[in-house]
Amino acid sequence: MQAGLPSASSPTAISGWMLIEVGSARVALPKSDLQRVELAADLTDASDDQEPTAGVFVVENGVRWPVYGLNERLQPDVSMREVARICVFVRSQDTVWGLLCDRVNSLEALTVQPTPACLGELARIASGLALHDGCVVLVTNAASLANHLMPGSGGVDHE
Amino acid sequence: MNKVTEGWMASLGAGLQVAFGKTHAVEYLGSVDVLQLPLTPAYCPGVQIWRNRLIPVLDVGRMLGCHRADRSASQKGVVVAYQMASGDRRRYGLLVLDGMPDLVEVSDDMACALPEEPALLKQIACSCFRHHDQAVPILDMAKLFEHHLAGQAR
Repeated sequence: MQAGLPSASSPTAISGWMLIEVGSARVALPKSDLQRVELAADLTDASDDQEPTAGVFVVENGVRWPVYGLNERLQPDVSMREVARICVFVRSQDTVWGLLCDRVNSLEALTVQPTPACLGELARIASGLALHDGCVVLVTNAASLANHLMPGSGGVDHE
Repeated sequence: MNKVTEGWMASLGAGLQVAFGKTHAVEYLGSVDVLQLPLTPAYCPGVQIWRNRLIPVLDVGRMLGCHRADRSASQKGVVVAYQMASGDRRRYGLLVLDGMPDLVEVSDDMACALPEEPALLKQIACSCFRHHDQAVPILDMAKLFEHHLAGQAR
C-alpha cells in the first residue's frame, strides 16, 4: 500500500498566534484579534447581566466587557471563573469580550492544516488543526468562537 | 466488455464489509492511537499523528450503527488518501477496520444496487458489488471525510 507521501506544500505555515490553554485543550487565535490580557482576579461579578457570562471587566471609561468561560470540552461553562487565572480579551466585529483560560502564550508560527468536515461541530469552530509540542491545537478566530459562545451574536462563520 | 479492476475489501465488524479503490490505501496500521478532540461525533472522535500530520480517525461501522462486540480491543486501521477533485491536493484520513483488508478483483458484472439499509450508505458510497452473496458498498472517501452528512449515528 503506497499511494504517495504527503505533499510538503499541503499544510500552511502561518505566523502570529496566541495560544490559549484551557485544561488540556489548546486553542490558537490570530494575534490580530487580541485586545488585552488581564488577571481573572480583576473581573467583576455579572449577576445583573442577562447573558450567561462568567463575569465582566470594567474598563477605565466605564464600559463593561463581558467574559465567557469554556471548559476543555469547549462547552460554555461559567464555573471556569473559579479556576481560571487569566482572561484574554479579543475583538470580533465591533465587540470586545473576554475568554477565561489557564495560560496564554505567543506563538510565532503554526503549520495549519484544514479541519475535515467529518470532525463534526469542531469543524464549524476550528478552521484548522496544528501540532505543537506533541499536542493538537485547534485553530480558530474570535468571530468563530463568539458564534459558539454567543449564538446569534452576528459573528462571522468561516468555512 | 467486462472490465476487471482491483480494490481493497475490509470488514468493519458485525458482518459489514466495505470496499475502496486500490490507490486509496496508503498504509495499514496495526494499532490506532486516537488523540481525542472536543465537539466531535462518536464515530470520528479525533485524529491520529501520522507522518507529522494530523489525520481524522473515522469508524464507518460505528457511523452506520453496526456495533462491534469488542470495542476495547486494540483498533486497527488503514490510512487512505483522497482528493476532492482531480488535480486537487491529496488529503489523508484513517479508517478503523476489523483487520487487514484483502485485495480483490471486481468486475463490472458483479455490480449491484446499494442496500436500502443503513440509509446513510447512499451518502458515503459511490457504488456496490456482490461478493460471495453479500453486497459490498464501495466507499467515496471525499464524501466520507469532507461532507457534512445528514442523519448519521452520533
